[in-house]
Amino acid sequence: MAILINEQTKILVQGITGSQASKTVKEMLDYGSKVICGVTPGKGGGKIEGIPVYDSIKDALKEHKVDASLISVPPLKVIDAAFEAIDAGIKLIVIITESVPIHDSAKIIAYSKDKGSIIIGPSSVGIISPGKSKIGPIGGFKKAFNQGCVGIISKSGGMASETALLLSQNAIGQSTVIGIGGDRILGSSFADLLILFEEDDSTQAVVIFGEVGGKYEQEISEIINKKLFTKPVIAFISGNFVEKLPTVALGHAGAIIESKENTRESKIKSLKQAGVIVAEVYHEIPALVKRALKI
Amino acid sequence: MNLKEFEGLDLLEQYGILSPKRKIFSKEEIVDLSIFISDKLVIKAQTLTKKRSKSGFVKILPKEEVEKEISSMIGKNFKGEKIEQVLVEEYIPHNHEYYLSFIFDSLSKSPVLIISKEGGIDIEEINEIKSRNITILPINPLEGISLNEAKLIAKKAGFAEEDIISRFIISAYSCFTSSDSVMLEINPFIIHKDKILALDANIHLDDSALIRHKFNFPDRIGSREASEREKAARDIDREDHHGTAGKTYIDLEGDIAVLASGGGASLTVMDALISYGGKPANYTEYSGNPPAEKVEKLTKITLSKENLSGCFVIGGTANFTDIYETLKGFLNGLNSIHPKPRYPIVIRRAGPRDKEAYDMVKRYADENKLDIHLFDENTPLTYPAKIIVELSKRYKEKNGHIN
Repeated sequence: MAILINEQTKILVQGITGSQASKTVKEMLDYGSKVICGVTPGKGGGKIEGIPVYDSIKDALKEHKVDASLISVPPLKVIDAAFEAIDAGIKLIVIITESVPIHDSAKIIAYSKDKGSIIIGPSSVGIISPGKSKIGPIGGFKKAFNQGCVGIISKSGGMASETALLLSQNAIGQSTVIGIGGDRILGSSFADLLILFEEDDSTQAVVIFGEVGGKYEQEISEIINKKLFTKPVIAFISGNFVEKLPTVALGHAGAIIESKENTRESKIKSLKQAGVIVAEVYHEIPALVKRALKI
Repeated sequence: MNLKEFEGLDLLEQYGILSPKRKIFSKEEIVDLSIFISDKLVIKAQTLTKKRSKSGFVKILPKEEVEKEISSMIGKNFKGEKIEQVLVEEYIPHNHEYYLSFIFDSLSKSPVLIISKEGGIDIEEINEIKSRNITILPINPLEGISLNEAKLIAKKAGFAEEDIISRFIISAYSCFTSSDSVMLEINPFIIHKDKILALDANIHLDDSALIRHKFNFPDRIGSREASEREKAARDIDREDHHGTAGKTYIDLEGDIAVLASGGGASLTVMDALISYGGKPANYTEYSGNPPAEKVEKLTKITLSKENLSGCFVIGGTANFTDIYETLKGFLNGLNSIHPKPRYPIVIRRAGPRDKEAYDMVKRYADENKLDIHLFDENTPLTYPAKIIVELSKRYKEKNGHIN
């Protein structure tokens, strides 16, 4: 088991003919992901890595049944691509494009709520269920990921891999690893995904890589207090450095600090109160996971 | 990108939101106040950093004292920002100040409207203001706000002037969405002769959406104008959209040049570098598999600083960034620096084609007699920060650096 994707998940890629997307598709196929079709308006009829390309999702769905879509189109085209996927009834949509205007993201998220689709991203590095399937560029460095019982949710794509590697080096495998993106508003938050991990029997604990900015820790504390998530959570929050710079968006737009109560320190305090195990130093994470799982 | 007050007021005006008669002054201008009719005028330093009034940068003075105050304010520093413009506006007597803003809320994943009869307060985040008399409402971005809803909001917030407040809410929301703002704050606004007047504007535009607008605002990094190096770095991304390199480049005051990869990893590493006593010369980050040329340009900009004592090339385990390509870009950049750097260079990277990349770097270091130290994924991400700090310290001792 895993969450969101497994070896059965049939994937459509929007923007499949782009240079980065076609590279990602090759990697996904190499990993064993079931990429079955792609869409690029005006380029229907061709093939990428042996995968048929269509002009629209509607055309693609005449020939294929699809469970998930990967969106890799230029930032200003993401909104149309996402609406097309939602309208087509695709239930999982992973947006890897960065720099999507926030007003567009808000509309996409609102529309997906109305229609019952799950959005991961924007700025997501993708999802990987090790040994089963991956969607997006995540897992290009294969040996970082190994099948196991710990879920990882990270705003940062690089740190999703880095954290998986750190766990793997300590003989801790992963059930599913998700890069949720670092934008100010996210299709799926830490809390949204924790709820899915709760239902997954193969996941025994979840590691969270967070950053300053946003109020996600409040939401995490809430779902733990309401017992909607009952497994151990191990968290690391980065961003001491950012707090020394006034209102400057760094690596992730989400790290904009606009409030005194939104500091790293206050986030850590709030998480600890809810029973989350917080790593003070990044490389403590594996030891804390082992202690939580009594292994 | 932050806007100064007068820029924000100009933008609001395009959506029908009025403010008192105003004029902007900078250094060389002759002060002509003939457009103003009131005896007293408001003088406000134009800064990107907020909360200036408590430091005496907002004053209400008789007309005859204004000229002197303008020349006294210009050139002063406010929280590290040099004051270059001063806004003078008609003084409108008023009893009440009100508050309105739109901002994105990460919990409801939507824009929210914040409105209050108690304006003039320092608020930028929702959780600070819970206890006050403030109305906060999430807005469905697909539907916007109807006039009827706006009237109900005005009523709920306790305003008797439902009609004008509701039209004001709709105009402000229209400005917020049409200009692609991340935040729009009017604090305070007043009601004067049955009209609403904005007495300040704090607007942050969405950097990601600037491309679909024709704004004419200067390039900025957070609360200050961008330096030449910062502008050059940002141009790299504007010219080529493959991956990012330079979108975030910030000059800092230290002496260790940093070329980091990945948003999360780079922040984690900056924290580590500083905690070990290192002083970064800059912050920058490249990610998303940028081509070698972009990394080369960013390397040249980053290493163009004088008096560097070390260079730190650092990143997490890349998912798809081609380590060979990006390190080739780094070496090409290094190659164009004259004289060749003698300071230590610490590199820690892992990901696709990392072995080939390291062979290339080793050969280059040998041929050019460079002091390069390589670490791979078996060294935890934050450990090389300690190494570069120690090496840089030793380099400075040997070369008689003052700091």
